[in-house]
Amino acid sequence: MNALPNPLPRPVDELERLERIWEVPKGWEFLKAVNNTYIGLFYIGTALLFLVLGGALALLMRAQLAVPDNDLLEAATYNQVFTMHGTVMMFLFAVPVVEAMGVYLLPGMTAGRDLPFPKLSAYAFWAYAIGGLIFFCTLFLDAAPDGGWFMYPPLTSYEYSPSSGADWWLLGIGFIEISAIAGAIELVVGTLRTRAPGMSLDKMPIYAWAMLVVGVMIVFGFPPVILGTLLLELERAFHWPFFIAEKGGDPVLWQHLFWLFGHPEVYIIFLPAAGMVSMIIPTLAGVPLIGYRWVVTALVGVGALSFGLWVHHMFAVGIGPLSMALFSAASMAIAIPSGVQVFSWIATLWRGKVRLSAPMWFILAFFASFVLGGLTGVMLAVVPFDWQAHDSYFVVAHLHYVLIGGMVFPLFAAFYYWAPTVGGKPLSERLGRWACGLMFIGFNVAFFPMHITGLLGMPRRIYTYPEGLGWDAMNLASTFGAFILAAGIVIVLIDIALHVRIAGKVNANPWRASTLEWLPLDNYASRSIPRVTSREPLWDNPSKKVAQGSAMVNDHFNNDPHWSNCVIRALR
Amino acid sequence: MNRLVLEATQPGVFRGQCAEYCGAQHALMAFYVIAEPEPAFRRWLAQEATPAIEPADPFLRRGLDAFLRGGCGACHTIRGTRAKGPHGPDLTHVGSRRSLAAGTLDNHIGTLAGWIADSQRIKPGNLMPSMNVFVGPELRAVAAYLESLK
Repeated sequence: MNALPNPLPRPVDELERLERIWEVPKGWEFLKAVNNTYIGLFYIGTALLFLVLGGALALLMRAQLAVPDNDLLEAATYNQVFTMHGTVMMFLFAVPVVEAMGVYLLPGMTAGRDLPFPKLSAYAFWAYAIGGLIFFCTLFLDAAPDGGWFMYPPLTSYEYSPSSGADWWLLGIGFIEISAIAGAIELVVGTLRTRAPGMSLDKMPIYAWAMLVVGVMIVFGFPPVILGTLLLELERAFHWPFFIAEKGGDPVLWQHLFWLFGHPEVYIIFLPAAGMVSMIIPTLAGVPLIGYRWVVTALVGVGALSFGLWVHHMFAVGIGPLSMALFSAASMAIAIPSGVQVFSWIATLWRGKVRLSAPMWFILAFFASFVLGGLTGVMLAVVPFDWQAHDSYFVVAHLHYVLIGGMVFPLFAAFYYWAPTVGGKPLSERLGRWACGLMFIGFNVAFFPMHITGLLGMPRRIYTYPEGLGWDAMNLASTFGAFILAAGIVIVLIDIALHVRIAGKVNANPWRASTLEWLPLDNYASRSIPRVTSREPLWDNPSKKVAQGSAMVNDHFNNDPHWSNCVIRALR
Repeated sequence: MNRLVLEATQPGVFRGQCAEYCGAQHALMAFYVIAEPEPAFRRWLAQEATPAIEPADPFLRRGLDAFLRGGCGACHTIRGTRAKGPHGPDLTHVGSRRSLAAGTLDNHIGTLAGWIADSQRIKPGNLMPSMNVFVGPELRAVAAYLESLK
């Protein structure tokens, strides 16, 4: 390694050429932007829009269920609302937002100028945004699907769902899946092919590892559901009986195809969040992640195991005892790699000196919620227990603990943590803590009672319930909690609206983080592509004092082009 | 086809509810399992096997006539009468049932009349049409007749 400053001279016009090539289109041309920073932020913004829309549907449902025998929503409307809530949250919020964060963050972390196929990510974004909005609008035309987000036939086939709602679902989801696969190819190629020189796989940031695993999972996990949607649409349109038992089809085939995608999907949503947590905790604790190799192994292990669990969604359908034993064991086994990550985080926090700032509060909320969701997951992996709790509110509680606990809290931690890389001001520490508190309290008030209503026999997906079954008070509590949770989310959105501006030129490392996305960045990413020699380049590099100096860093770099041991990549 | 074996350790009434989303009225798909000691169960079984008794009371008689004239027998069976429809529930002993419309309503003359007249409002999308051809005394007669089918 050369001594600093690097004496190599820069090419003539280097900065001007960079700026010209990476200039952002102005005015309406802005919509043609393909730079990962802009596409990533559009993508995140659109996903947040769907979070709000899906959340509004959730509040409608909670309002309907606040009291027994309520008639705020009719049965037909409620069934559309809950189907759209699940579909929007899973397909239009959760999966897109984790891919969006990847599009936005990955090139920075691996010090690429952009993702390898910028137009492909732009395509993925626009296919998703337009397809998703059209799909959502079916709700206003009373043409929304009403078969539940996993759309089990025979209910969703032509005989029992003759209206066009199910077709909208099948077409809409088909397009969104294709968009997700396009995004995943980008993530896989990006992590494998566009890393900074010297960043071997064992020096790659954990988040990039998580996104690599997730990209591979999407590429293998989404085709089964695309196949399923094709078959079901053929059945609906042309009456080819793939899933009709009386005509020789098999409704269980749909369940296999759906959950062979659906279970990996849960981890497709969770692993990026876990990757973010593995980035944020070392920074805020001030020490490298403990057990990097263990965590990478755990990520790969979860990714592989997650393809062997899908039948645990089907224990109540009448599956043979051997399959049930196998899938039950696998469902419990996945707690091990998940646990490895949790212990790595705890150890890192233990070893370091923790700064209790807003992102850290969100991460603590994540710990408490996700661990509880994981424990109820192990309970549900036990077949006889699952038979009792199947499709009850216990399952609703479990899945919201793992999804909101395991993904929304880390995502919001990530917003507070990475907001300074966008530009504008950082998010407000005070609003962040209020939001986190409200969300955590609201979340638990809303969803904890559902464990109990579920065990008392309340099935999911019911638009009303009679009084006197012991469900009344807890449902009212859940409704209150849902509105408190929503208030917390609204505060975050207000905070983002008040403070975040897309600057295109960012030079802050307020958390004193160790990874390359905190280098001073412009539209062309970092001016010189750094050579990486360790997992914590900004800590271990001889110039780390510079990198940690937050706001003045960019000036420093611009004035002194010979920082560190830069290599200059020939521009294409 | 799945079978569900329930083992009651003591006599009593146990409420159950549909657990797999089944369509528009999934929320109102409940049932009661009534566990009885064996002798009482055998008596119930023997009673269930008997056909409906011919009504002697003229008002109930009128109810049966209206039931048959109104076309109810196209879907429903009442053993011992001309009503032999295979589609809807067998009403031979409907008066002895605990609830109506899959646990949605208690079972008495008022709820029977309400269900017959406007089943689509109580449970939209169910397979029984609202039989608003019956009005006033005729509706009361049909409901009274059904209630008498113990």
